[in-house]
Amino acid sequence: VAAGASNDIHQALVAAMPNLRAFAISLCGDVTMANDLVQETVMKAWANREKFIPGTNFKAWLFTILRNTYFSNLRRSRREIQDVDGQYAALMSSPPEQNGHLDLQDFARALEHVSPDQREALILVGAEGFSYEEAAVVCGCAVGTVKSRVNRARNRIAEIMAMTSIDNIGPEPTAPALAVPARGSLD
Amino acid sequence: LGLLKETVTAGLHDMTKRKDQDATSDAAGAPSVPPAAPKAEQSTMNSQDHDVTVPALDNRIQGLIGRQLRTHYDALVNDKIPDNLLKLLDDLAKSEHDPKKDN
Repeated sequence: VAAGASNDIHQALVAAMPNLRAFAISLCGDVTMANDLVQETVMKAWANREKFIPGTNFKAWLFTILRNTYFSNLRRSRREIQDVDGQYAALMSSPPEQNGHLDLQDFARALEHVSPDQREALILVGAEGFSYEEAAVVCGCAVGTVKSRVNRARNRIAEIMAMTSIDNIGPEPTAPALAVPARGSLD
Repeated sequence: LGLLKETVTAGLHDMTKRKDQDATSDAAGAPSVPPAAPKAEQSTMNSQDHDVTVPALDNRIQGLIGRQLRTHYDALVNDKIPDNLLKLLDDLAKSEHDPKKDN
């Protein structure tokens, strides 16, 4: 590997680190796990740095490595956990505590109750500012799937947060969209 | 440095099928680029992107969720990077300079 290119990759890694870590935390909802995930991602990216094509989106490349690592770890742990019991799944789907008002804590909790693939889409598009097309490349799915996931994620969050925050939203007597979150066939 | 800077920012639009075909083994074969890329669709939380299967939310609620999401996310971006990750980056920089520099 040419030293100059490695140097560039290294600087790009340093620059991307805060966002990579924010993405990881959002994705797995656990800071310790996120730090491990970032570490694994950085090492993979470094080991494969000659595969990065200069002129393409480095952050997207990095995010792709991270999310693929995350989802394959998740699949593995689910396989292990399923043998144990349905307990883990029950734990993961317990509703957030319903007290207090709309604040960031509530939001963070609500986000945890969005499915990982929907959360990922929402973060890429809504927080990182990726276009739907870019997010689709990172997620390895169709653009329409990204759009659908983003919408479902928003609906899910609205559904969860509406229980505590309807008065923060203002006079919204019926809010029909809130009452009919999409159910059923996912993807 | 210049190269990578522009990679990180401007590279967004180049990110098409070539991009991550070798990112990782389970990248599941980079999806083909959408045939008709919708023109400069804003990817903000407020855009009304209708989807046949999912009802669109009220704009105000969408806007609220978008703002909350960004505030939440910005706090994470600004969080202090733990020492072990900084050390990892340092170690990588050293490993690159130590063994043999080829120019």
